[in-house]
Amino acid sequence: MFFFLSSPRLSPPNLLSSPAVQLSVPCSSKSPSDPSSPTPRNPSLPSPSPPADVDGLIGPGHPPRLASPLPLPAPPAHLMFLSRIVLRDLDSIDSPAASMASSKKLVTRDEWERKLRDVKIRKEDMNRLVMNFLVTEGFVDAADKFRVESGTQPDIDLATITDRMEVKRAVQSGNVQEAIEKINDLNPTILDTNPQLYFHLQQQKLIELIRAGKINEALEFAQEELAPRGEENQVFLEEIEKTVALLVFEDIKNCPYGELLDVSQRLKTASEVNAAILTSQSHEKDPKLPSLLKMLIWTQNQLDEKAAYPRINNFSTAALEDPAI
Amino acid sequence: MVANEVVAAAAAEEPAPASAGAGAVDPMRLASRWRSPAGWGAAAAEMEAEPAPSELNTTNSSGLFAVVSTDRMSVRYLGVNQHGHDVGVVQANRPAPTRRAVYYFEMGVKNAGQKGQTSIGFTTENFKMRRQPGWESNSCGYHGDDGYLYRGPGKSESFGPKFTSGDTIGAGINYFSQEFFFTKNGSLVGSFQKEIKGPLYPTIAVHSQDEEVTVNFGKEPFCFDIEGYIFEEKMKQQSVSDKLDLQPDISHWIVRSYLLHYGYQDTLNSFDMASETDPPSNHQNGYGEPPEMYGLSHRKLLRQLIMSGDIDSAFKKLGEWYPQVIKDETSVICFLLHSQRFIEFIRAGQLEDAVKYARSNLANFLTHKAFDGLLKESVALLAYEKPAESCIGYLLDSPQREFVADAVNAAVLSTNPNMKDPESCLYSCLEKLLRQLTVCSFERRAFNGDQGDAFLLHKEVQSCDRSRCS
Repeated sequence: MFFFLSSPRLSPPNLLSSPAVQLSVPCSSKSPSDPSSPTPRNPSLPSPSPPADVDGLIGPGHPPRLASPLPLPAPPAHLMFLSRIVLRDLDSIDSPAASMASSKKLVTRDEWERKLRDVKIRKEDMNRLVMNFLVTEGFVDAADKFRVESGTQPDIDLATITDRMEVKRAVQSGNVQEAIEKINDLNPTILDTNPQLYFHLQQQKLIELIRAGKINEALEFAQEELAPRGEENQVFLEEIEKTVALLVFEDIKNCPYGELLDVSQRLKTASEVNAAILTSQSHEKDPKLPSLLKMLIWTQNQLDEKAAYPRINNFSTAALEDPAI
Repeated sequence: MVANEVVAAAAAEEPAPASAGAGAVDPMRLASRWRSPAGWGAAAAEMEAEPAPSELNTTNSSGLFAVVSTDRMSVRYLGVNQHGHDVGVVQANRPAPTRRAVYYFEMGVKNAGQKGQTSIGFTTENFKMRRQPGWESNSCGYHGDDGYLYRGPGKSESFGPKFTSGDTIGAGINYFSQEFFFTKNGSLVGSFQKEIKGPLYPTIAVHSQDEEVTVNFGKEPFCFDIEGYIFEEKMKQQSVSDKLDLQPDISHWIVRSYLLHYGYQDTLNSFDMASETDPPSNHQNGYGEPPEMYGLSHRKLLRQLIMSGDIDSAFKKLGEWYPQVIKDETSVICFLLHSQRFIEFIRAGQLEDAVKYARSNLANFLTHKAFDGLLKESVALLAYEKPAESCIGYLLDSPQREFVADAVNAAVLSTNPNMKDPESCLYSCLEKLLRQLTVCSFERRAFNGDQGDAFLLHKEVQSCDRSRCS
């Protein structure tokens, strides 16, 4: 029993590649049957694999994959933990599902937590990630405060955020003409080089005119400004047709293209404008954080195919959930 | 850094003095976060270090048919070729490293000789060293005389243009897509599925009179824009995961809880105010209040004091608000604050005060193994005329203050009677997720034959900067 308690310290951080944690049913000749083991029949019990074994698996001459293995305090509640594992594993041997799981390696919560603890993350890098979010999403005041409070330098001139947010807000509140003028003040090449963005802004302008009930103005604008754009591009033409259709319906809220009048349409256009301005400032148009979170979902899904390990399913608590066996 | 590792190691052996009772947090665990810049560099190198090919292997070559130059960077065919078993083939001294997104090397054709039968590719360790790469199983090669791709006995196909004197040909392994690819004069020729397993050696070959080729394992700039290629591959990779759906506004929630966790209260207020005026004002909905409201304004003030170097006031306020945190004179928190106070004396040039302070407040800690390393380094600052420029000058940098401030923050959080998970005192939600991502990514690579690059936050944050420059 004691060997097990001390084994976590001896093992290198990457226990996943150790045969000691492999669930293999039935007990194969490969499985270690340590004479001192209390339950030698159970192959899935984590047992003290000699470091040499594990090294061999990792490959000679290769340093451990994770950071240097600091000796860590023994895990709490070993005994309970041990008995839990034994019971669970005995259950799984009896169940027919066990053979299905046999190809997957099991990583216990204890081992996983040790790996998590060994990860080295710089505070400074997390600060930069947060700053990147504030800047990209346009939280200019918060970014400025964060600069002071955390000492993190923003990766863009904060003044440009203010301009960008003014444009975004203009679109969001329906002042499309004002937004177009502001964009041109900011950088006249943005609209020149983004015909699609310019079209969407014009379309939004038409939508706002219709929403305001300015029918004559809307018709005039559609004929003079939008119609020529439709001739150059089939997609634009369809969009124009949908938008103009709003004029035909007296009860526009219930017309088939009513969603164009929705707030979400404004937000869509606003976020397109936001992205174009960021790109013109040589900044990524999306914050880094959401794509890292997606990467976490993706990586967990990929790892599911190979191993049963503690997952994080709820990102708002970041709580580890016990591996399903 | 030595100091912190020693401290952390020692702290692990004997229960840290501060951790009285269940649920207490050992702030020294935060030490693993903080290192000197050099220490970080070493840690990163250790994570990713993998020997890469640097020159040609002169011992495992056919020898008879070709001669490798003394700098081991070029090879020339000897004599006249007679048949298919007198190829002058040479491997690199080491196999291609796998723990990266892409491995790539180039060959320059100096002289295409009589028949232009130069080639480039990858072979395994036991390759027959008198055959062209691609002629034997477990190898592949792009050949100059016909522009064909060879990938084992009887497997050849039209692939790209021929190549001859003056051309630069590249060969690479894309570990993410599991493909080999070849380039000619900086342009991609083509790629194909990598079916060979195990270590692969960059290989070049010459096979007719006067043929001579040079090799570039990256010491010289490549002809092909490999950085751009890797960037595009990354984007492809990212576009796969970007299609996944996130809980709505989860990023917003995570950033908010980060600000709460570390007590960045001014930022938090601005953030909340802006979120309210922003149309999608339902940011906070659905996830409930994070547990880290506890002691927010106190934690903010303590951080400000420590970050400005006012340790005396920090001590005073802690004694007022959270006496239990500094009650134990020998606790980690007391040690960190005392050593920081000492460092602040040094910074101010008050050496006499520093010595006095050390005698009355730091000397007691000498008996604690756990504090030995950090303590010695701090005290050593006295020895330097310009401590900021010394090898331990990092102790005077603001990350050291931040380290102490974060430790105090964690200690204060741990006094929350409603704190269910002691881990949450040390790690914000963001950090937990990033740790999970790092471990998952490294484990996944381990399952994948150790191929491909794994997630490291530092690399990721730096790549933000790089993509902005490009």
